[in-house]
Amino acid sequence: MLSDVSLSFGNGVYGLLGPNGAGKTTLLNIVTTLSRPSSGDVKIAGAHVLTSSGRRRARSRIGYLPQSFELMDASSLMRNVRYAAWARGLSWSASCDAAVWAMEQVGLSGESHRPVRSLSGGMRQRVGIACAIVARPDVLVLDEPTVGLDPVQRIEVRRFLDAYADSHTVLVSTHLVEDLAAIADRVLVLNHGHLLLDGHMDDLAALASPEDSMASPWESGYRQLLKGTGHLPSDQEGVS
Amino acid sequence: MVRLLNPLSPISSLVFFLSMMAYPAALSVRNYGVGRPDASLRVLPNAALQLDLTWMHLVTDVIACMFGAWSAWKACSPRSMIAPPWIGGSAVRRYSAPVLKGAALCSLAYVAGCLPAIVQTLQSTGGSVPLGALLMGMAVPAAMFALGYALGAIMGSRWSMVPATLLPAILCWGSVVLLIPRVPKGDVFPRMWGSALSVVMPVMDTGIGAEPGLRINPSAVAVRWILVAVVLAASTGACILTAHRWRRSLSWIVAPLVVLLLVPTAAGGLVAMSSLAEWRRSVPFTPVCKSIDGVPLSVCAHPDDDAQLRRYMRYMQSVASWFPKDSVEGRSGLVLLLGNAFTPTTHGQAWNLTGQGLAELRQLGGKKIQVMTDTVTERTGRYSDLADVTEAIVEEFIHADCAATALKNVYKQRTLDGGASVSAFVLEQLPQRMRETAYQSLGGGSAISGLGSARGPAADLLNDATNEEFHAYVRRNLSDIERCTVTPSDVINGLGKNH
Repeated sequence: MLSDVSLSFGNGVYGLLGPNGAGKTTLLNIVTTLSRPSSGDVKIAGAHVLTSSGRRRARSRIGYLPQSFELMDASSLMRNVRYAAWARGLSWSASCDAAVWAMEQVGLSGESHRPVRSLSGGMRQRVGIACAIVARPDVLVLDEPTVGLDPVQRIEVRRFLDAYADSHTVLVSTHLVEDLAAIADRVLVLNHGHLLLDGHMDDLAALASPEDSMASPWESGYRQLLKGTGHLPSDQEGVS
Repeated sequence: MVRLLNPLSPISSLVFFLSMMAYPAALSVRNYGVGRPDASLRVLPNAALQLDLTWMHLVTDVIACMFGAWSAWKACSPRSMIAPPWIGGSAVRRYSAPVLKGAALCSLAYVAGCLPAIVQTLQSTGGSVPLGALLMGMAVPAAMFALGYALGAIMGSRWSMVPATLLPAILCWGSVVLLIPRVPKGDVFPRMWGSALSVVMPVMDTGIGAEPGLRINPSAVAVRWILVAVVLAASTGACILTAHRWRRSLSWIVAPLVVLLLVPTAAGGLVAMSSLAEWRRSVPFTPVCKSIDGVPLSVCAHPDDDAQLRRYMRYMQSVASWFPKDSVEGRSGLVLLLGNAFTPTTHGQAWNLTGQGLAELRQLGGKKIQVMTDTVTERTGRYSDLADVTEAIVEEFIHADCAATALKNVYKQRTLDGGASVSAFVLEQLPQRMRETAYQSLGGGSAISGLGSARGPAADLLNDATNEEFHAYVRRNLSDIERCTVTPSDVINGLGKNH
């Protein structure tokens, strides 16, 4: 449940942090037009999503990668991304170029003919990202996009998001504070449905405790912020 | 091929395709003797194939619906990256493409499963391809896939497999219950057509029986495919509504379900109200008749019913072998008319035959009995089994008036005490023995029933005799049995040598 949350996004990477039950998924569902806010308004790329036509327009501008997702496992990577492009409104012939571009962005150009079921978890994750960006959405929403990626792949994805955010809005929900530190222009910290922080990563770092020397300043700041609300992230939530 | 299937998974599609084929293919093997050396004698008539093709999809329907739900979960649930509900683009093509592809695949699986039975029957009977019946049967798996796909899209989880299993099972079961054929009153067509709903339910009215010359009404085929189109459109509409509505709201579930269930129901109701006949029965015809050598016994059938005629000729040749030539000389004989096609369409008409057909039948002489008609009318229902036919033959060819009283008491007697009781005891089990030897001539047969109550050495020898021994004994002593001059000691002397 979210309350009193008012946000606006421009181009850039927006990081969304918060422990389990903080309201991150609710916010993502609202942004991706899956759930209707009980009150208030949502506007995406100029379209009011509460109206039927506005929602339709908004959806054509959004790309979304859920935390866990399904692909056509027996089909090739190319086929998956191409079909995703076709389903998002591209013609079948145009979908080929779009798929090639999307796979280039996530570093999968050389693997395009491999069946998805033969891919590693990290590569599968990148296929998911390729599907999300294949129609070059204005707003890209990613839920834990770097889970399962090795360090090199994480850097590649960060690099892509950073570049994509030059001309688009990228909203990333993650537990990996370090990922955000590298690319986020702004960070939003949610807890119990309330917005605790809406600022820069430096603002988070400023909250760091000098006693917490084992953690990075952003991670420490995040801990301190949650400590103030009586909720510390658990080990499983993987602050790194 | 893989591209054609998108977004249906090729591996899942193959598994579901083979599963959908399995049931009709298994029925083809079981009922049509596919793969057996004597298949041409086992094959059912073309009319029976037509009838079977309209219902052999029962299990296929359930699997098709599950396939739909599975495909929707993989392709268009909120977890899917391929065509989830929260993307832009044309929802119509996003949902209609997989629905159409899956529906086509399910229909194809059904056709593939039925092919052995079709090929076998066409080869053996020389009949025409039962296209109408096949189209009627193909329609249902297609509609079931669409229903399943919509259920999968609405629920967005693999749990949709549960309703996708139950819904078609309930529909099929309901239509079978609804259409259980009843024996109609009277002797003429049209007989009871099951329910008016049958044209829209998964299972058509099978109470019609396997009538040669029977044809599916082309209008019924057209209407069924229009209904399939309605189901496909309603399913696509339900998917679009699901994607369009806010999730977790009441209308997100209610609106698509209303479209999915009410639109086809309303369309089906309209069709049912029109009371469209599903079948067109045989027009008057000239039958093909064959006679048995040495015995005044003939078998007539519709020209399309060649397989049945051949089969019945084999049965009757076996039955005729029980009678020595001299024992049936001068008898007027029997003519067996095979199938529903002979049933007249108007009162006062003897048979559904052309003038020439009637003349040929009259020329054959003898008593005419209509057999192999399932449960068509009160007149013909009693000859639904071969044992009924052999009973009629025994009555016609063996006149043992001396055993009439003994026959009445055949289940009361404790021992065989004279010629009359022996004749009655033999005559009581003779039709059953004839039926069994006839079935055995084509590789069938089962246990004998209808044995009298008498016990003792003579009765036990008769009861324990094999069909071959009994056959030889009766053939040797038929005239004595008719005259009630075979005593229990004669039986012991005649049959005891074998034991």
